Amino acid sequence: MPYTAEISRKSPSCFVFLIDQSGSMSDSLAGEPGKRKADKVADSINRLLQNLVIKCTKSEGVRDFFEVAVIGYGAKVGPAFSGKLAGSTLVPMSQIASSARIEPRTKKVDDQAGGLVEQTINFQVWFDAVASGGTPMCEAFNQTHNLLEDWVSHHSSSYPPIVINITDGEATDGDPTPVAQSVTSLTTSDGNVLLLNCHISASPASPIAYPESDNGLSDEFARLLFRMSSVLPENIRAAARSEGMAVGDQARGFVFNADLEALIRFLDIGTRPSNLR
Amino acid sequence: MNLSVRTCWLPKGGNSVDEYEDAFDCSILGRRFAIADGATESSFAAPWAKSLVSGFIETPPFDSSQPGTRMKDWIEPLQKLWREGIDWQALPWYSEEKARAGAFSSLLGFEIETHDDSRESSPGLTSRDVLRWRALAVGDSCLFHVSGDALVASFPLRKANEFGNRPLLLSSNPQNNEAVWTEVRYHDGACHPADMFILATDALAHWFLRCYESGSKPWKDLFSLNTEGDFAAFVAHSRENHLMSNDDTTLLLVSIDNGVVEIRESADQKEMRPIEDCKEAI
Repeated sequence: MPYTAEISRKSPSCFVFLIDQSGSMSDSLAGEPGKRKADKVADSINRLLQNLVIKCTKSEGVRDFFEVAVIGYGAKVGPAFSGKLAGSTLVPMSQIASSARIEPRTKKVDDQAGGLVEQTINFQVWFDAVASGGTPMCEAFNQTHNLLEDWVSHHSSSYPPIVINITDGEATDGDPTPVAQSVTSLTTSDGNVLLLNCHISASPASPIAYPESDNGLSDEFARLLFRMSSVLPENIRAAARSEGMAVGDQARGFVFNADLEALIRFLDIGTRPSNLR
Repeated sequence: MNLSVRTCWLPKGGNSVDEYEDAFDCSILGRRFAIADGATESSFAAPWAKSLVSGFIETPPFDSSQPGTRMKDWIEPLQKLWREGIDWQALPWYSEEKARAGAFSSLLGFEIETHDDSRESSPGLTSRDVLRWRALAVGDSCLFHVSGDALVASFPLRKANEFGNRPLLLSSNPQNNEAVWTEVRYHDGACHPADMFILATDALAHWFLRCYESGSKPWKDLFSLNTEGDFAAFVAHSRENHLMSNDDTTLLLVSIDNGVVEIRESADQKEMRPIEDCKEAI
C-alpha cells in the first residue's frame, strides 16, 4: 500500500515549500487590514517549521525524520531561508531547529477574568516576508523537479516528498500544470511526490479545506491549483477524520484562505496520543 | 505452586537500547506485573513509562467500580516526580515546548491474588478456583490469559482491528488527561494452576491477536522463546515480513506452575538482559 513507508532517521522524508514572493503579496489580507499577505505567509511557514521541529523532538534533541527546502518565487527564484540558513537548499530538521532567529512577539491571551491581556512570546523565524516582481511559478516547479529528482534517487524507499505551494495568484511564466505534473510523477517505491496547494486571496471568501471537487471555487486559478493538487493518501485522510475534519475519499491537498498546519499532525512518525493537541 | 515470569524486550529497529521507551516492572513476591509504552510523539516518555510501572508495582490503583477516579489521585505524585526530573533551564526552545505538552504512555497493570487475600468478592468462584486475578489498563498494551490451551481473556483490546496509532494515553501533563478517566479499563477473573498470562506492548499484542484470529495459537510461539537470541530472531523475522510493526517491543510471560523455586529479582531494567527469568513460590 502506498504512503505507508516508515519515516525514520534511516529513511527520512522531505518537505519542499514553494512560496509566492511576487509584488501582489504586499496587498492586505481580506478582513485583516494592515496585514500583508506576505507577512501572513511568512508567519504560516515559520509556524509550520516550528511544528515540524517539535514533532521531531525527543528527549535527547531533534531527530532527522525530514529534510526541508524553502524555494521562493518572485523577483527571483531560489532558496528562500533567511539568516543562518540563507542559500541552503535541503536542510535536515536538527539543523533547522538550531538555526532559528528568535523574535519577541506579543499575543493576546485569556486573562482568566473574561478579558484579554497581551503576553510576550518567543517566535522562531527562518523565513522573512518578501514581495516584489512577477509570479514565476513554472520556474519554481522546475527547480523543485530538479531538486527532488536527485532526492528520490537517493531515497528510493522513503515516504515520498511533500511539496507545499503557497500562492495568491496566477503564474506569470505560463501554465504550471505540465511542470507540476512532472514533479508529482517522481516516485519512491512508496508512492508519487505529493503536491499540496494553498491559495490565499484578498477576497473575503469563506475558507475551503481539502475539497473533493472544484465546485465552489471562486476563480479559474483556484480551480487550476485544485486540479494540480494530489489526492490525499488514505492514512492522512483517516488521521484528519479522527480529528473531526470532514474529508472525503477523493479529497485533494488544496486549501483556500486556510492554513495547512494541521497537516503536520497527520503525518505518522509513530504513536501519537489522541489526547495530544 | 510457583509463579514464574520471563521478560523480553527490544527497541524499535534502527533505534539504540537507550532509545527504548517501553517499560516494565514486576514483583514476584507481590504477584504484580506491569508494562507501559511511552509514545513516540512525546519527549521524556521513557522516564514517564518507567514511573507508571514502578508506581503500579508499589501501589496499584485498583478500583473496580470507578477505576478512573482512583487513578486520577494516584497519578499526581508521579506527574510531580516527572516534572522534577527534567532540567527545564537547560532545555532549548523546542525541547521545552515539547516537554511542556507532556509525556504520554500506556499502562497495563496486572495482579494475581491468592484466594485468602482477595479484597473483593469473587462471584462465580468454584471449588476448583484457587486464584483470582485483576488488571487495569489505559491504552493499547494488552494482557492475554491462556488456560487449558485456550485464550480465555484478552484485555483491554479484544480484536486486532481495534489497534490504531492514536490511542488515548496517560499524560504527565494533567491538562491532557480529562478524557482519560472515563476510559480506564478494569477486568478480573479466576485462574488455575498451569495457566499462562502474556503482557505485551502494542506491536506484539497486535501480532498476537491477528495470529489468533487466523486460527493459530500464538502463545505457543511465545512460550517457546527460551533465549535472548530466540526472542530477537522472532521479532526480527516478524518485522521483516511485515507481520509486526517496527516499534519498541516488550513481553512478559507469567505462568503458574510447579517449577523449581528460584528468586532472581532485578532492580534496574536497563541492566537486565533482554530475557530474564524470575520464579517464586506463591
